[in-house]
Amino acid sequence: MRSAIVVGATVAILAVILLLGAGDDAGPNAFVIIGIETGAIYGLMAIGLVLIYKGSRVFNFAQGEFGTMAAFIVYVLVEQVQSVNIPYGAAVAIALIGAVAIGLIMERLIVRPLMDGPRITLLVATIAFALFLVGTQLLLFHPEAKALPPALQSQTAEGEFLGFSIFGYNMEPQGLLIIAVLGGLAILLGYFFSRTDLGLAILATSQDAFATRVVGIGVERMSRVIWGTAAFLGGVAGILYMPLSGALTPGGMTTGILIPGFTAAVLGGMTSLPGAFLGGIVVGCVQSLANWAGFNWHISTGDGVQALQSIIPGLPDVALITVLLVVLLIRPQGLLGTEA
Amino acid sequence: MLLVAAACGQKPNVALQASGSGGLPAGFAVNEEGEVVNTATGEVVGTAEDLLGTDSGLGAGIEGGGTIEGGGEVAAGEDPGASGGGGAAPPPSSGGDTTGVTADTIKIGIHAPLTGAAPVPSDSVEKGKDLYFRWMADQGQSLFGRKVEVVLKNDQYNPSTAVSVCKEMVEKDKVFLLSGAAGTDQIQACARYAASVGVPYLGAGVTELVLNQLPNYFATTTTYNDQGPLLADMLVSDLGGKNEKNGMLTFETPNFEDARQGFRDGMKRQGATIHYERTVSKGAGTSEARTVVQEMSTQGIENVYVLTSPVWWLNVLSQANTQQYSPQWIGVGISMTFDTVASVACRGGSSIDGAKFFSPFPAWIDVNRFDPDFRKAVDKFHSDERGGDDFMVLSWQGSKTIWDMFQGVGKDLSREAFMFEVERMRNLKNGLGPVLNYSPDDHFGAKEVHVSEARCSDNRWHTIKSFVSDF
Repeated sequence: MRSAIVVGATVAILAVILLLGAGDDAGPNAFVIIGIETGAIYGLMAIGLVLIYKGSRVFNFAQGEFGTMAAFIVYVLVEQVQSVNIPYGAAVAIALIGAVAIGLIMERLIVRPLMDGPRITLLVATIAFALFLVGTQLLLFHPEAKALPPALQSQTAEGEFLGFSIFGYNMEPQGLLIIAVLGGLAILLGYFFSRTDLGLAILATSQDAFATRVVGIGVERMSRVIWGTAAFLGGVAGILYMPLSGALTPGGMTTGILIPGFTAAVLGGMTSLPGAFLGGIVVGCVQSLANWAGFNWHISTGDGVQALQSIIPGLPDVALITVLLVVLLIRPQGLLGTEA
Repeated sequence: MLLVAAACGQKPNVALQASGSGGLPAGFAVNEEGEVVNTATGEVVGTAEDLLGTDSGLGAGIEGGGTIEGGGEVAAGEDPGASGGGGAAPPPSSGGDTTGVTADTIKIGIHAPLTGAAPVPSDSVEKGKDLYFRWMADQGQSLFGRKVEVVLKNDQYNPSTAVSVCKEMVEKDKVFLLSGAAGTDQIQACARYAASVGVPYLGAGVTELVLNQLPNYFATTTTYNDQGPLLADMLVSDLGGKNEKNGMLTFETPNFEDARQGFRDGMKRQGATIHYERTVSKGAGTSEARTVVQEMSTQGIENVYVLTSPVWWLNVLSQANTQQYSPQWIGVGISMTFDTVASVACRGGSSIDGAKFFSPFPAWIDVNRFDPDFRKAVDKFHSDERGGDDFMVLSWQGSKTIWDMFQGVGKDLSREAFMFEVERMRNLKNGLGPVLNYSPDDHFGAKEVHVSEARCSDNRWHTIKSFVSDF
């Protein structure tokens, strides 16, 4: 019931903004759409973060680099392997297997030995592993930017746009794919954790590993499932997002998406997968609308009339922090978060 | 009588040590007569008794000429340095700070954003950093019996890291001078550090803010402030910008303010209008890229001056391709005109096609027109590199400038002599970069640019105009 109210309120706020801006080319409508499209990427990152938090009670700073590694694997297979023409889908499948393998290696070598130690140690270890992965990318793929083609092209060879236009903003097919994948994953994982034995076993493990062992659930197996799945989700996020960022660079997902992804996860509730989805959308919309307001809203000062962005540098970040603080003051567990 | 340079030269960092022990601040020393002397300018600023333990008067710049004997001399009436970055020490006939210089080697340090925001081709970094010096050695040339050794470190497009690596190069690697290849904030940060320890700094021309106060800083390419009006001239004269809608998109760093102001002034002088002016955070991502493209597209902006990191501009171009928005992109910069930028952007669409940017170096594909030795050197030392790339061209050009400067200073090389001589160098040409004319009042010696155009027909930048100083 509470979830329905929160989701309903968010949708209502966005609907009011769209109604108020209707018919105004310079209004915020297009920026709401930009926010939703960008927020879907944040949500995709947040889902992986929430999954690990639910299972291991740790913030995984390496989540972004599962994605960058997967994106680089796709790039190499599609763009650099000349001897065999590897289809994009096959490259994606191989990359996702690679991402899962990296996640499992991390679980075995880093997470499991530290699982019984302080959580801060594990958190720092995830940062170290992220840096290791960035270093590996620099070594293997070099620092210069690369162009990763998207799964769905946005133009025909003749330059005809293949997406659709809404409020004067062109939604590209890859953006729509991200929203669809995010929605599908949120529903699927929500069902997994609430309706399946394996999902419930993972939740039980995260709450009390000892008690879980007593009833015969393999904690190590649960840990493998969690980290493997999170790495898979990170890989999906990287493969879908990096083509839209314009340049594939080492550490690209960490520098571009991880922080908004964390914010989305906290905002939505660190224990709620649908919350991660919602948090991503909210973060994207707040950023986008703050960007719009910063340029279009003006205030009269002693130096004359100035745009808001001139008076408040970094307005999108300020707006985001404000929203985050307000939400956490009212609901410390986040928009849709619960205790487990 | 007065051994100004020797005070910090015979015992490097003696002034720093004094500072650390509560004595004189860095850059000052006590001469034989007990007077406190600014080691950079040669000016006597007071007696040691009066000034030790205080900083009164120690920050003052020198005014007027003076005679200094012993360590070096400045003829009466000749300005040994003043404001605007001027004020290098007089040339010592012997002595001076010779850190990094031996009988057969000169060691220099370079910092560059090898990761972070500029798509620098990594393989070519190592191969290109000393290519020119190796070529000259191979040709039997030397700098009075010395060869040049290069230490190169990654500043990660981060000012704090830049200071850290510069400090490391000065203190650990003992380099003679520092040089910055690209990155405004990093160059400024490292140059300030270099000034605090009396190390000469040769940097790409970026902002003039703060740098115009540093006696050790020399710009080897045209600054953004000088390029701004020139860009406005090109926009109006060559691209018809006077009757079109123009925009300016820059990063939100104070160090770009003079670049922005230079463009505004130029546009005003040309009677043209800037209809859209937007700054975004240096940490901007996809959300900001989508926002600015949507704004510019909606407002019908036809020409856009962009001054950001190349990686974020690629993000903007990606969104522009999606929105089928293809304005005339113009700009200044160094790493913007690397072929990697054109190559990556063209793969995503054609928005970048026809972009015209000022560049301090000629496009790689056109380099033979300017200096055929470059390709010969690459073929000789790195035949696997297939002719090299633009970062190697940039390194080659910078190395030529440094070589020419060392030649001009002569055999008796010290940091003080280097700065004194360089700020008097005129008509310094290397055939690739702008002609350099320094004076004690002006360490921003370059006024010319190349104009590069992005072409998606071959995914490269092409030089369409060279050594331009007006349109």
